[in-house]
Amino acid sequence: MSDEQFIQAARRGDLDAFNRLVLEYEGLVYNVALRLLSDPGLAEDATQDAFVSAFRNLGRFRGGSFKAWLLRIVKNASYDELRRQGRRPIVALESEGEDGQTLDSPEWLADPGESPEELAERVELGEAIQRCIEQLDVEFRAAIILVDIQGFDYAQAADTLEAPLGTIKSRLARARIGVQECLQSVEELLPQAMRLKREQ
Amino acid sequence: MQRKILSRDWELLSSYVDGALSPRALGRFEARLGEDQMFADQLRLLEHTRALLRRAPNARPPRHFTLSPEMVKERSGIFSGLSLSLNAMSAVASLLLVAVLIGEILTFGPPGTTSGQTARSAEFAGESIALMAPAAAADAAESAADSAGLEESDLQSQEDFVEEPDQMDQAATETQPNFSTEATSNKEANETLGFALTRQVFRVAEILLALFAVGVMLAAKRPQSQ
Repeated sequence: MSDEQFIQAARRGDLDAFNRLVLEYEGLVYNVALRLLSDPGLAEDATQDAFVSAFRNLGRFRGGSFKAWLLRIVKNASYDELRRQGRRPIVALESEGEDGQTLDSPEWLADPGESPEELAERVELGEAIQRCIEQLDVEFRAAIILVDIQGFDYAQAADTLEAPLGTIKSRLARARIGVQECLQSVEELLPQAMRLKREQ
Repeated sequence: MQRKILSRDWELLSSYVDGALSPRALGRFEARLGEDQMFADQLRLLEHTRALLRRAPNARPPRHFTLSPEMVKERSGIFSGLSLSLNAMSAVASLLLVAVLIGEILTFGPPGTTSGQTARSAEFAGESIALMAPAAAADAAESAADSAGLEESDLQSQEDFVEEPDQMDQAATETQPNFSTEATSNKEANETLGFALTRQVFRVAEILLALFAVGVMLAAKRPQSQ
């Protein structure tokens, strides 16, 4: 069944059909919330609320990309949360699963054939990237999360963020420069090519 | 040749790494790339940054977020009830606002106009105050003399400060018929004050209702989902 068929069934009150959509998109929704909020607990709440809200408001979905619509919901919930906090999140990107294992712990991030040192550096670099993303204005943050981390194209990002294409391009460029400059503070973790350019 | 990298250039570089430049812009971009080493260096740096971000791992969700009938039912009831309440409150506030506006127009006429009664009352109030002034001055002088225990002859000097006796008599004669309208004038002035107060109450009510209606409408129309 396609998304559209699941949506139609869910509109008729079929919760199982909607839950198929939840399972398909929960990883994406949770990760966008996590990158925006930098707080696993808040991201979890935002994700759950987004799905409940999506089910409740399915009648308002006018077609198009369900993924973009869903992400719009969690983006709005995340922005609301950030506004409520009135500050930038400071909690590190780390969380514990049901088994107590941290979500970005080596056990599940590890690539086959990667040494423990390489893995540790990669994890450290991942944390540095998140810290650099956190420093961005929330609109720039959202653009870089969608395009560079989640691999959206400009049109999808514009649809999700409800902004013109030109605005997305501009925000993305600024966000990339911001992250690029920020990452120079952890030069030792950067790939050699980036370090060489820095020295020049 | 090297040129300073402007913010427009960053957008070009960013669009280029995403393959989002138009063919025409692409031609100009590649021409500059061949002659501007700094531009080329920045492009490579940006490509590395983008690649780094694209490799950033996603976190594993801590649990599944599937919905149970209880979750949907419970929250749905609360939220839809709240939304309905807000919509109803907005509608009621709007109706009240219209009612108050109509009431004001019927009572005072269209906004910006002054009713004949109000103008007339203001005129009477002004006259009343002007007529009462000389009499009040004479009363004040007499009162001052009494309190000082002065004889009538001594009052002459006091009267110099106020008015000649015949002038006072004349003023008294002139004001006599007007005292008969004093009560009317006071009544008119009070009515004017009441009128103005009522109008202010109407206006405050209009502003409050308008603010309330708009606020509630915005709250009702802005679900977290959109």
